[in-house]
Amino acid sequence: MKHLVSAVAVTLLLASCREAGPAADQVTSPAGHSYVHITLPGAEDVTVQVAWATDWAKRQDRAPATPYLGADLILMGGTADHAPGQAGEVFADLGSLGRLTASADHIIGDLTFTPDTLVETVSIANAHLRAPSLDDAWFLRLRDGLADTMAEAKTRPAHVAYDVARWAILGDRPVRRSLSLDDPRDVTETTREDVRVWHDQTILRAPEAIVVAGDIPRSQADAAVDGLLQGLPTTPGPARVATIADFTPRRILLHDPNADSTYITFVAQLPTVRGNEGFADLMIVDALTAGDRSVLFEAVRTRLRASYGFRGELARYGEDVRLFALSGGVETARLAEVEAAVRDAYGAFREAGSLSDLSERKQILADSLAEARTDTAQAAYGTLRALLQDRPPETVLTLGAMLDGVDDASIATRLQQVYPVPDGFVTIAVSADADALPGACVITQPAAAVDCP
Amino acid sequence: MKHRRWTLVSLAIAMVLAAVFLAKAIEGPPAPTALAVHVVTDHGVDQVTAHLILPRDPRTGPRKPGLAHYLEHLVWLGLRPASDAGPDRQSNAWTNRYAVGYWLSGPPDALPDLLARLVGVFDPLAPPPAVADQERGIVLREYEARQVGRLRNRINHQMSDFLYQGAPLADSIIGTPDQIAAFDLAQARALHALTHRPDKGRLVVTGPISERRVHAGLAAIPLLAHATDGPPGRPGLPPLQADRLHLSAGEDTTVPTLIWRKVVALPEPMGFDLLEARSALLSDILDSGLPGGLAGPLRFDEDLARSFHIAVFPLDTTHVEISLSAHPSGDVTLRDLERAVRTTLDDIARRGIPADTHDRLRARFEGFWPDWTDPDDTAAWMAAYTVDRLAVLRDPLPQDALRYLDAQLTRDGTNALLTALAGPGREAVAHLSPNGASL
Repeated sequence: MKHLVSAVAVTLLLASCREAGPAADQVTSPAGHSYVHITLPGAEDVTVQVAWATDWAKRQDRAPATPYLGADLILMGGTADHAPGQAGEVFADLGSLGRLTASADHIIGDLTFTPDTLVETVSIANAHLRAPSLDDAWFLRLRDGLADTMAEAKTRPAHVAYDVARWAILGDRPVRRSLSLDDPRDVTETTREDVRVWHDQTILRAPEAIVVAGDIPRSQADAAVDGLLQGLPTTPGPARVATIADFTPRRILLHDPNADSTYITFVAQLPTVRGNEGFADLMIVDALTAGDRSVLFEAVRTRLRASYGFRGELARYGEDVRLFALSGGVETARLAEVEAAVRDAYGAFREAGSLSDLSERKQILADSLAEARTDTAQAAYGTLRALLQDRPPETVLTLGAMLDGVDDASIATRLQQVYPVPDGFVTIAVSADADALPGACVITQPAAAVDCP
Repeated sequence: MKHRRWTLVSLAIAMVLAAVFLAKAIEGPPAPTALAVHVVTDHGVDQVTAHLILPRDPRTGPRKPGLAHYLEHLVWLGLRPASDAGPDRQSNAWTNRYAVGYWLSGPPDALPDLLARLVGVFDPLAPPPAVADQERGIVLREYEARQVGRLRNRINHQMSDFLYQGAPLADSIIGTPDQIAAFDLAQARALHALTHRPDKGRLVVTGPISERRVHAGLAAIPLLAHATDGPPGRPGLPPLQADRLHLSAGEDTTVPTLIWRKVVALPEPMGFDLLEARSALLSDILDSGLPGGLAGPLRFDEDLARSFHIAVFPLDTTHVEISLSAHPSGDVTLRDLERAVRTTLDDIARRGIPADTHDRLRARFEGFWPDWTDPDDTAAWMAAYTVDRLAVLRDPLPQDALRYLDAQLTRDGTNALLTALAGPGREAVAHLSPNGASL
């Protein structure tokens, strides 16, 4: 079984499925659940993925750590028939994988197993979804662990830089609190009752999207879906709440006298993907940051000699807010030089508007797609993402054609119409030197980023 | 999940700091050069990867922790593909506690060029002095990226120095900022001359390529065979002297943490691969919540540890290390948690691993090795295994010997290893708490 990889990679897989004879069918189970059945001939595993809508992260009156704790506690905290922690051991014996993950707008359930363990795996998962014990000792263990993890993360300048970026872009809104968990009380004051309420309001009989991927007949896919969701509350889920974000360009330096290193990140918004733009974005960000001949590696390491390297990320603050970030640790005394070098190199790249090695990059992606043709977890996740973005259920089966359609013109259009001008980033630095970034709005607490012009 | 254990084991053994490398291989006949060559034909991938592995440390002379890693940076500067090479030409380098590795990858028809570039590693080290100076700054940036706020890394180095009794194995891979700042080109050149020699190197070529083509490619390259002083020596441990070290720290700790590490000597040496597999299985058992595991007593029953991580791994064919880090629950003190860990392990060792638990974890263990009936899976696994093995300066076993290991993972063998780990050894304990006191 394969674990989920990053959302970016996931959406780029499965193109060669076309040649292996896969199919995507929108069907309805006997219990009335509408889902997409992806048939992947030759796949050894079966994956069921479910997206439950949630507005918890967008509400002022909710403890923001609850979804993260609840997602773990449901499966670890036992049921009336399963002792806490027992499900993990049984799943390990079965070779099954089950987990819940929380994002700003959804809780994603992921269940992967072999067809011969379908009944047992689904039964255990359903019992935990339907009537979890939410064992108190496990709750405290998970809560303390999350608090420790966040406290430790805050000692790293890179983590702090992203906290500052969220303050600047999302402001003092609940979704920022939920994504950052930067106030220790957001974790430590969460109660088991919060998790109980969250569970009852979130894990419902009618999720926003359901996908089954594997080489199994429709009857087995029906059984998996109906078995997984049976007995859950029929309450309708919440409507999606828009994420409000402000990507107005700003330059901000968080002065932390105790910072052991200096870190800088450039953040900008990207529009939601509708067609093959995801491939273009991946290749663009890759060309900027991946490998020793990438644009920014050449600029800041090979030429300027002031950084170990820069990395690029495609991420989301919610279903409707997509962004990319270029980030790296730099020599403190040369922060301003690095900022200028990154802007210049990025600007020249954007201006050029092309990838000289587009065909090789496309081939690398095509090879990756081919290798993943029987990966049920990635097929399911790619389909789930498509459904949540109102794209066709067969999207993952057409990725090869989408990739074929990326050409010099589409790259140029994307770069020049969607990617920001060099001065169009929200630029955040964290440094022990308050003067390291001349002209920046200097703050001493992340929350002050809200007031930076 | 199939090869998870190889990754974990490799990390535990080698603590590789640099790039993660992927490959697979079987040993082939020696090439007509001073360079030992391993070829693994793997038609499941599109790219050919050529990997050159050299010992990190010279056999003699003063030790300079981090210098080999700095040298690796300088050598790689001359190894990188041309800036106009396509994205299908990749390269990287790494240093671990035993070895330094350089790799290049590209399409199969690029093999002659890959090999020609790779043997450039043996050329005299000649970066411009200014570039060598600047590279120290790059290494410092790498240090910051990896070490900042990581008290545990620093403590673990102190513990390693004690546990390995000052053997080179304990040396920091990247060095401290002060050590890095003291490196210069002359030191790097001297180390290069001692370690970057064809007779000390192992070349691993993996991918959709035949052994014949690899040797044909090498035949076109004049390799100067240095006078050999024998095969690369791997850093071993001196005879183990039972002792105990206790550290307390916490000036930049946010989370109370117990680190407990112990090295024991086995009564008799054991094949490294069998010992590694047996250690990995024991790790899985101790990590589980089943009877015979630690999770039950420490987490579920007494709620002493909020979380813990345990690993058992061989240091050589005689010495095995058990390493545990744990965060105490609630008001549990580090001292009480340490006591519970010792008591529980001793108790498990005295009782032995229950048969049912052993059977269940053995069944889960099937992913440790590939599906030997699947040629693609086997080739992919062998390639990764070969690089992993050479990266700790050990020869990979042939496939038929590896297949025989599975039957040797018996409950008696597991219990014997556990008994040894509970016996006399060299221990290091660290209590990390936010106020710096040992609670």
